[in-house]
Amino acid sequence: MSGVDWSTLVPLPVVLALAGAGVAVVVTGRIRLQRVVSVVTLSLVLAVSLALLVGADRSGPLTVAVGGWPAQMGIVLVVDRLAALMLVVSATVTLGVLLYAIGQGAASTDEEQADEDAPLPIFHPTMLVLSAGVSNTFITGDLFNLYVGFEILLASSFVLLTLGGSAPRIRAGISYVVVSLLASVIFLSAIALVYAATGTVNMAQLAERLDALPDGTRLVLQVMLLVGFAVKAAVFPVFGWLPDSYPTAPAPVTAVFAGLLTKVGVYSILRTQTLLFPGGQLAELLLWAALATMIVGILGAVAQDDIKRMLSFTLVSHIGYMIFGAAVGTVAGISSAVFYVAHHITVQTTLFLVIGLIERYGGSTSLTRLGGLAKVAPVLAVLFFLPAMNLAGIPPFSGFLGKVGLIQAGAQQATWLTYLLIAGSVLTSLLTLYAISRVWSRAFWQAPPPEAGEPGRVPRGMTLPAAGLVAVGLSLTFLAGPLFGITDRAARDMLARDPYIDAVLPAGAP
Amino acid sequence: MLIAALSLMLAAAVLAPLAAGRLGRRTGYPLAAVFLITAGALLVGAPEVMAGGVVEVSLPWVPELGVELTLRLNGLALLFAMLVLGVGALIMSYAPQYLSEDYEHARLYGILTLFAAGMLGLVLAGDVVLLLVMWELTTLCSFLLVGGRGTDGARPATQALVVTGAGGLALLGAVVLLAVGTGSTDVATILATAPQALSARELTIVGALVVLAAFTKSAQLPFHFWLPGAMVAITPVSAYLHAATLVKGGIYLLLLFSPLFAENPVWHLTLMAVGLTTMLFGAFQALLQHDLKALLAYSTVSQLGFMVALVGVGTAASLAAATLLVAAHALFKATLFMLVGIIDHEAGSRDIRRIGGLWRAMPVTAGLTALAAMSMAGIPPLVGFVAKEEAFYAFLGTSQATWTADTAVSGALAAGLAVVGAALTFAYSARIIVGAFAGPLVQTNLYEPKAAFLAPAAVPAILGLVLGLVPFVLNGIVDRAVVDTGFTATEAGLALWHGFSAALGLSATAIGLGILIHLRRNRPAILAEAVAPAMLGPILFDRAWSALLGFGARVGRGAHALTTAPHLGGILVVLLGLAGAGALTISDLAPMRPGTAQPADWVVLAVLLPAVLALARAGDGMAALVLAGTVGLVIAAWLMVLGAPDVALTLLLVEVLTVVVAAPVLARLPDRRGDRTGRRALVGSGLAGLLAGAVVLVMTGRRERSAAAEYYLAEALPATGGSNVVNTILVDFRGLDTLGEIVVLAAAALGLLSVAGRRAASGWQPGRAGTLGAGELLVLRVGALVVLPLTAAAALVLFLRGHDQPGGGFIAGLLAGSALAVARMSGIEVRLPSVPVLVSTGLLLALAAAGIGLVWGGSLLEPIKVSLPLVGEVSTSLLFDLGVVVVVVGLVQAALANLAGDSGRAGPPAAAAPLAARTAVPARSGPPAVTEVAP
Repeated sequence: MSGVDWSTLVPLPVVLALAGAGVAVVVTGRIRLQRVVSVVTLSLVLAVSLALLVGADRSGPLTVAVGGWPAQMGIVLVVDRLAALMLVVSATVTLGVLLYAIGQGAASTDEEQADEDAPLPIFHPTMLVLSAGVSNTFITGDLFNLYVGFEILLASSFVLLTLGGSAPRIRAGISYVVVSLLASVIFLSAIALVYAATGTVNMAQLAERLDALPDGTRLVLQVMLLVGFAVKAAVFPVFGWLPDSYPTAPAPVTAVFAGLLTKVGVYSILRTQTLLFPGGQLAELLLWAALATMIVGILGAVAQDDIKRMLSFTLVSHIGYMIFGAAVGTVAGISSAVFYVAHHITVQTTLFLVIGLIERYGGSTSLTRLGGLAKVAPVLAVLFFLPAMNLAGIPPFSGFLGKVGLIQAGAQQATWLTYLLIAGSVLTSLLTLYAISRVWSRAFWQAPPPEAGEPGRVPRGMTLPAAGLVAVGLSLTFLAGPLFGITDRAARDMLARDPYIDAVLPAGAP
Repeated sequence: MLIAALSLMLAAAVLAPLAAGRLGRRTGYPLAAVFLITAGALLVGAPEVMAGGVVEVSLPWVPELGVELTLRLNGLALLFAMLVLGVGALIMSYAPQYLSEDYEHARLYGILTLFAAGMLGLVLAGDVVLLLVMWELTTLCSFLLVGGRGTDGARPATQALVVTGAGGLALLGAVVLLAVGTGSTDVATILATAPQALSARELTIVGALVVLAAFTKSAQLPFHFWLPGAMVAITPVSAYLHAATLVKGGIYLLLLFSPLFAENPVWHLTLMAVGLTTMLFGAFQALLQHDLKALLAYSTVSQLGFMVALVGVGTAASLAAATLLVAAHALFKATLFMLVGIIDHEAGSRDIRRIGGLWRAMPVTAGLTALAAMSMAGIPPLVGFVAKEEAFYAFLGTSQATWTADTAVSGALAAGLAVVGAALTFAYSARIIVGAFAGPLVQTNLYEPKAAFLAPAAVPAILGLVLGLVPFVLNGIVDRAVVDTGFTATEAGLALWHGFSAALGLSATAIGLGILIHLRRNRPAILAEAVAPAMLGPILFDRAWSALLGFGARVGRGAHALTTAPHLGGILVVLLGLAGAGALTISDLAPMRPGTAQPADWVVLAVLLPAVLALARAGDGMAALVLAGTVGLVIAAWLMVLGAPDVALTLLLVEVLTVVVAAPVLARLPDRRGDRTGRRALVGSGLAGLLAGAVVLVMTGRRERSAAAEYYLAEALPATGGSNVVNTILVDFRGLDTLGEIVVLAAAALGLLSVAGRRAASGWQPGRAGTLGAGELLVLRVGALVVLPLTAAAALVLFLRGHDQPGGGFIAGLLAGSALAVARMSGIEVRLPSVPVLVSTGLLLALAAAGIGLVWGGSLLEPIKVSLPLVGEVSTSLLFDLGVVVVVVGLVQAALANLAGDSGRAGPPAAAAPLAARTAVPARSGPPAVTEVAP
């Protein structure tokens, strides 16, 4: 390590966000101050994450043993390139969403946008807690601590989902929380069994010890973890809860959920399937799941009338791409999957924010009640069009590049199943394009229906953060070279496993 | 220079909307100049290209994927680039006259220029990924330009997008296969190495994908239908995109990749068969149209088929004819579109039945139209004639192509079909001229448009005549283009007059036949029947598409459940299936260690089993709550026996508090005693339980104590100063987990407040569900007054000793919380800080302890020991544990507040006697009306 000890920064994304949350609760009475606190906190988190990315890319995985205990006795935090990249992307979109929410809140006068009129202004602290939970899952090197990260996520997301406590939100929240709890129970049971079988929950140590288990035992553990994560990631056939619960939340909340929460599941799948269960025992199963996720998800999307629901289905569908890459399991596959995760977090979050803008303008997110937006809101049209085309994977956007990477990875394997996956992903692209163009032509081109009211006013405070995220999404196209560089190196390290294990357990550890 | 040219176009696309703000519709003129400058820049490289060289430049983009921004100018690219820019300049100078003052100029000019840039990039691309990028860019621009007219445009635009988008994805597939097979994305490298690097089968797949891409873009059967639909766009768009350039993209693609398939009969036969069929079909359709624009659209389809068939022949002569036809078609079809636009503009209609005799009012317009139509009809001395002669000649020479060695393909048949197509072309060309210009004038007040309007159409019309007279000037470029498609240099030898050849005979036959058809033009019914089968394409497309959407709708409904149960079922099934199957493969187990089971376990099981079964069958929430509590208590007792008093205490307190909090809530819910757990759910959860039991049996109790456990037992006291290992794990070794868990509790507390507060505001009156008699209340109060101080003291003791003996922050907090619950039930007001203050204080205390460790110890959460006067040595982990207490109390407070219906701020505590209340609500939906029934 040359001079700088980057690893000091490792716990900060979690600690800073939690401290910010604590302070933000203290100052609940003073909205303005609360906003300053949360924006400053997330900006710091973003800065730290960027530094960590630089550090991890330069000097390999950064580790911290929390409390100073020997690695396998306490909890280890590990930031490798994958974790650092996830931190940067999630901090970026969370900051964007927060600014958007501030813009929304500042301009909120009417009854409908009453989220800030909740009895207690807890949106900001809860967002910070959510951010801490997301970061925690990325940086932890401990299976049980990963579970704790999930719990933080779950608790804060439940609060955000039911903000304001209207009946549809409570109903959606119940679905969400019950399904998530079941997934958590599965995950927790798996951890207990993992500990029972191996005597550790330290992931680096697990990487070594799981190899020594009998095949059948290891397979059961692998499957249980996979099912737990697959529910979070909304993989077919355990995705139904997502389009059922996301669309009811306020726009910023749906945006951050869509961007981040499922990706935490994908991240966990990527991490555990490479580090703990190498060898691709379940690769074929995952490929089928990826295919079904893509196709079923997008078929669900094409028929939706509500834009939010439509986007929730495309979200499910595109999770299939990431699982595809993970299942292929080569450097190219993992690298493209990681790239796609980064791309998709940004784009999906952005789109949901833009849908929030559309809702403001048109008073609805139903395609039958919208129309003519291209005329009245040309800026909005651009803001929708760019990320939408990016989502559909139209060249030269990052979605296209990610897809090229995935398809190449599939073609390199050259089995009939990967060719089938390629065909499926191409079909998914086409249907995504169709779904998007349907929104476009209905909401933006078609004459507004007679019952549509006057277009609403959208504050600049909401438009600018959305535009900022659109720009971030576009920048991924230009940064595709360096970004693929990082994901390639990340994938190589993930598959090699040694860099991670050696960083946590320097040679000679028991 | 190539980069400069492309950058100039892209910059123009960005600047055009800005310029349109000032210049309005006149923005077209400076743009036309930009197009010409760009063309000039490219022509700088022309001498090198004509000498057989290639101009190339390359920038890295995503080197990790091997993708570079390579631009390459060869003969083929030069020809297409000139068409794109030349026709573009004409369209740009036509548009200002055509557009009305209040059109959306910024949008139109911006996208049109962007399209031109994309088209230029497409033909210059030297990298397949860049090619793909540009290909899709042109598709998108087309979508935006077609749909821009509002409601009428949306459907055709979407249809075009789906069809050509599918083609783009096919191209993506081809590109990836080629890139993976050859390890390069460079076009030249791929063309050189693919035949060796890819297997014959792979190559055929690539060929099929390329053909699919080209056929969708160039509107070949059965994908042709999007093109006539796209005619809802305004004339400059139709003329530029859907006649001159965009639709030639497919032809370019076929030409570009044809060297790969030079020996592949399937490729050639497909192109010839589909091309000729499309040619005939399009020409028939054109003959049936009354709308001039639709006529031209079908004519374009037909001509594109002609070109595809020529590429399919695969000889130097046929490729020369194809490239020449591309150029000729661009010239006459752009002219015709522009002139039809003018007629529409001036006469207010382009229906051939409503206009007529325009010759008298607009002679120049009529003359130019006739010139272009004659070129299309293949009448000498126009360039269209030259191209058609070359084409006939090429068809006749089909058997000279190398791929025909083992194939019995008849050049004469192909040529014959082409003649029929040409005859039909002649007939519909004649129809334009005769229909629009001959006969009596039907309208009055018609005048020749001004010169500025006509000039852009006049240039290509006259150019068609000039080139027809001196076709040999094109020899050089056509030769280069043919070389670029994989042939050694041959002399194209274009000429207007080749002497009395077979091709001339065919030309004459076509014209003669065309005249006959034209004379019998009033019998369209026969023609309509002849082309009916070909209409299957769009019908099938529509059917398949709506079937797909219908299926999608069903999928979408399935996931919109409104209840939670279906989601859970799926998860359980997956878990059971996969983990169950996995569990069956388990073998080679280590032996069970002795002493893992005790006789007392059977007692526990005997109590638990009936309770769990009853719980599963319980239809009533309150009963389920009590049973779940019972199960919890039994397990707590069991844990105590096993020697885990901390865990047992925690569980016990949690069970108690759960009942206290949940009972009043359940009491207010609708009575659902009639609901029984379904059989499937019972079976599912039963199986899940069996599975869980099985894996626990095979995985636990089969290894020595873990290294971590040994370490904790040995090191807890020396390292942390605490002798209660459970507590040291919670606050020292794995403090981060605990920190995370109190964050969960804090978030839950805040969430409770949020939901409860809203309920209170919306008139929901919870909390006072039960009524207690004064006597009962008195007893409770007196009891509470005695119990409360004791409980508080106990909590304090448990907290302080936690590090060494059973107790600690969680337990102390829960106990204090229980005390609060008792106080609340008995109507005693306990003044505590508000919930937000409690949870934030607790959180910040824990974080402070963590931070102190980071600052003084060098590691987050590292316990730091301090000697305080009077107290003695204290570890920061005590501070951390204090944070835990405060957060737990905050959560309990929030839960109780939720019951009382206040939002956690100061308010009168409610007298709630939850278990005594029984609520009956008749209706299941809507906010429940609370009916109180005293027991």
